[in-house]
Amino acid sequence: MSEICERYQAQFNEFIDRELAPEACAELERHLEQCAVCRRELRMLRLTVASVQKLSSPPAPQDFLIKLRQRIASEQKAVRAGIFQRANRWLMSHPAMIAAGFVVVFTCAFILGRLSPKVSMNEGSVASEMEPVQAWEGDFERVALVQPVASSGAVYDIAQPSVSLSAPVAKMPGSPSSASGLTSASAINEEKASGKEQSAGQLFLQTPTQLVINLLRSDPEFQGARIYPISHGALAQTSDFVFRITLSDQNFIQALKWVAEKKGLPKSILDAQKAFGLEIEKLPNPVKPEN
Amino acid sequence: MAIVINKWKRRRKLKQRLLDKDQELIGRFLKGDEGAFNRLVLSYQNKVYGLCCRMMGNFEEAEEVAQEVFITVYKSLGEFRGDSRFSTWLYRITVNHCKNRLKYLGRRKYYQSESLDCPIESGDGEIRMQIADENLDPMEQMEQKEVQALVQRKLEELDDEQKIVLMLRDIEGMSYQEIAEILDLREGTVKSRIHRARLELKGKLEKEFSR
Repeated sequence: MSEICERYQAQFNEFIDRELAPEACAELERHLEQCAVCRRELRMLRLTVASVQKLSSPPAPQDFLIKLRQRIASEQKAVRAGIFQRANRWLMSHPAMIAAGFVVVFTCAFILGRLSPKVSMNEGSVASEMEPVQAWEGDFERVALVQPVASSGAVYDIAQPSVSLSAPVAKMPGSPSSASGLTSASAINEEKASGKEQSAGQLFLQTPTQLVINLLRSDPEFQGARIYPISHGALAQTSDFVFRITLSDQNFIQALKWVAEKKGLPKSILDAQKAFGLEIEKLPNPVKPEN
Repeated sequence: MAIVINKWKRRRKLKQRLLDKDQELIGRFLKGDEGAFNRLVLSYQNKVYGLCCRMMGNFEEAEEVAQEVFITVYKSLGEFRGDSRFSTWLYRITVNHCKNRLKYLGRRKYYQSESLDCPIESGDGEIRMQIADENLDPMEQMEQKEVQALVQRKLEELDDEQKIVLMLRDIEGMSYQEIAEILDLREGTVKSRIHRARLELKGKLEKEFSR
């Protein structure tokens, strides 16, 4: 290899990456027209670069985010425990503080007990036991909303007679938007009492979330989609979009009735939308922002 | 020509919008919106995981390191000052975690046990080529899959420093300047490292073909 060629070949990488100055480019191109050795050399280098560029990386595992949230949650717990321990050690070395603390706490408790009305403990404890999955509830922008054909339990004559419909809904205690788990649980109990839960029981359809996940898994359109549970439904991430599919408590009861009557799930998400007002929202896929 | 320029403009606009999006998500997270963090993770998890896979050469280790990376991000997003791009900052953390982990593992002893590629073997266990036409490059005669497996293996043979620059440049498509920022090197050093890495890889591939 001649010295001239060597000098040109040192520029090949910048040439390929388009980081070479225009004059140098022109000069190099002139040389390439005359020199077969350099042409071949450049071609091989181009092929090498192209072959690396074509390498595909495996995508992250499906449960990557969920695992991450669990780890973050457990680390935060550990940090809190650490603070508690340090406080504990400090208190142990200051026994007088413990006595003073007790006095203060009891006095306060006594006064507050006198002053405040009774508060149910239930909601607080439920909130602290919530799964990390709850953190999914960020606000997504809606790009398109696929309207349910029959919305909010008004027209249901496609799936079932309206007479049997109205009964359990009317019996529901409280408004349907409050305390999700409780209302649906009582709904199931009512269903059980009326002897209609046979097939629903086998499919583990205890909550709207479970029902939606089962629907997604059986829908061929969502094959290979990543499914993440959220409250009252699930997120399904396909290659192009993220769908948020939810089912209100009220429609969940309709769904259970439908499943019990037909002895099985609707064939697709869209069928379920027609049958019992499943709400389907299409959101842009945050994983694939570039195209 | 106009089409190309338009395309380029649109691309730049899109990139800018993505940057703003990252910035906005970070802001929301710092105000206590955990959902914003999830979206950040979702938009970068594949890139980070992919980079870890190539660096670690092992799926399990890659996942572990990628998780550590995002935990670090979660804890220290407050310290991210935004004078570089979020992705640059993120890749920097990723590269450092990978390097530390590799050091800890006593440098790729586990490496041979489970490699990323699944070599395509033909009968007697070696990839074989028949040179049918002297004018065609052997690489062009091979099946795409075979080339990938081979390149993958040869890439893994390079030393870590060279591997990193090639991955950032050719797989992630970063500019020399971005790579320099991520690796804390001068641009000239990056340039010469890429040069050497490519020549080395090319040499390895050519050797494979001339056998």
